[in-house]
Amino acid sequence: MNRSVSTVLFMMVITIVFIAMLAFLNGVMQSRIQTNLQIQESKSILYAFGILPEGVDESTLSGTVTTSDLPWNETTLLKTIHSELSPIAIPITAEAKNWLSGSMLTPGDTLTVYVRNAQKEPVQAFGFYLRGKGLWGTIQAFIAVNPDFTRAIGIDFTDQVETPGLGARIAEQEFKHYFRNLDIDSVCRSSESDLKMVRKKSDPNTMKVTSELQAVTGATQTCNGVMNMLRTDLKFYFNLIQANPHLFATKN
Amino acid sequence: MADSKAVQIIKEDLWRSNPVTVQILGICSTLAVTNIFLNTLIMGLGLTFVTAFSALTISVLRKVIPQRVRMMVQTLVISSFVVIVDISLKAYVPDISKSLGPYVGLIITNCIIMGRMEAFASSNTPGLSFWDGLMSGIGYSWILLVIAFVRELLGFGTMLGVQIMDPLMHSIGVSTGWVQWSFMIMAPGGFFMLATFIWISNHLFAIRAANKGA
Repeated sequence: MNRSVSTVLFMMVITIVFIAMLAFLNGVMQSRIQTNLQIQESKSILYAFGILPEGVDESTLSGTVTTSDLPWNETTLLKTIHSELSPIAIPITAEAKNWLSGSMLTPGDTLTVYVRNAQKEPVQAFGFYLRGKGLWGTIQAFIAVNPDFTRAIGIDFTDQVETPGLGARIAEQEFKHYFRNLDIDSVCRSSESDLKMVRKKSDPNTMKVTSELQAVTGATQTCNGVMNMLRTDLKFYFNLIQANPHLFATKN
Repeated sequence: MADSKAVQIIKEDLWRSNPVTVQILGICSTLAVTNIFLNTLIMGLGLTFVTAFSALTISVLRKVIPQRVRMMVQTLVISSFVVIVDISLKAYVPDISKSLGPYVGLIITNCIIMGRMEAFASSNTPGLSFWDGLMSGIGYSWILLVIAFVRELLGFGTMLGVQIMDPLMHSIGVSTGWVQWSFMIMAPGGFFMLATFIWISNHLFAIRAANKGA
């Protein structure tokens, strides 16, 4: 057989063998990976809404704790998310697409907003995904805000590929706890937002409400990415929810 | 004969021709992941697994791989094992997979692996090649672990996430506790530690050479 043909055949065979091996392994592990992702997503959403596992006091958590460290029981976790929150799909109109200027959100025909309104009470909080640009790639976060979009309830970073030990520390409690009760009024309602990162913040916003967050040392570009994401996407969701009040009317 | 070669490989890969301190390979991940000890440990295990099994596979196939496509085959084999590591981390230790971010995928580009395939596995028996891959991975890992130990301890004051320096400072009467060395957490801290390590090892080599000459 011609040498070139045999070389090409060899490459084809070995590529098929290795791809088949990887496809098999991926098939075997896919359900486990999907379950892990679903658990992690549920933990993040509940954390952002300030819902923690029973017996966990957030004020005693170490600064390096991430959401995945929270000791949720898998069954309780899924039960809690279904009983406390309702996902609502909001249609994205042509007008709504204009509000996306500067945002990295890429909605299709609808966008999902989570609503906390257990026991048919009026809306207690809204939660939704944000997307921004970090140093190495896209940052995705889930944020919960109060019904009038004046305070953030909490945030969790659900997807990011920032530098481990530097930018990736945005996923740690030390950074995220400053989002609790953060003043976001100016972000949603005025053209100039007051939101800023400071080098050293003395009190958390739960003690004294401000529009300040504490930056992560050595992660300026990641922090700037987070700020830009908040400025563009919060305003977008504020406009979107204001334009669709009928979707969130109290259920009777 | 094989035994003495196996011992030789241990000495070469762990110290005399260490991939990090002597060959200066795998520097990107050395700087990037060594600020957290646990991440470094997982990275080291991942790279050791990939190097050892890629070397074994290449060695088994060495007589049937056409010479002109050998590097393509090596890349295919290495990337397949990296994907196995990536999928396994996502399935069994998703938190660590998340915190290592892109660096697991970047094991493919680590020059140590390709170097061992080309320099050793493609011309040695499967057993020795596997051993060489394993030792090269361990040679890379132990240097990284030493660097990570110092960086996490000084940078965060912790070891494996447990606060060490704060209680130590309080116990010797420093009321402010441990002041974190932010420099150690950042990439320049990695450069500094690596350079220090290379300097120490070169110094030891020089002393040894001088003693032999005397």
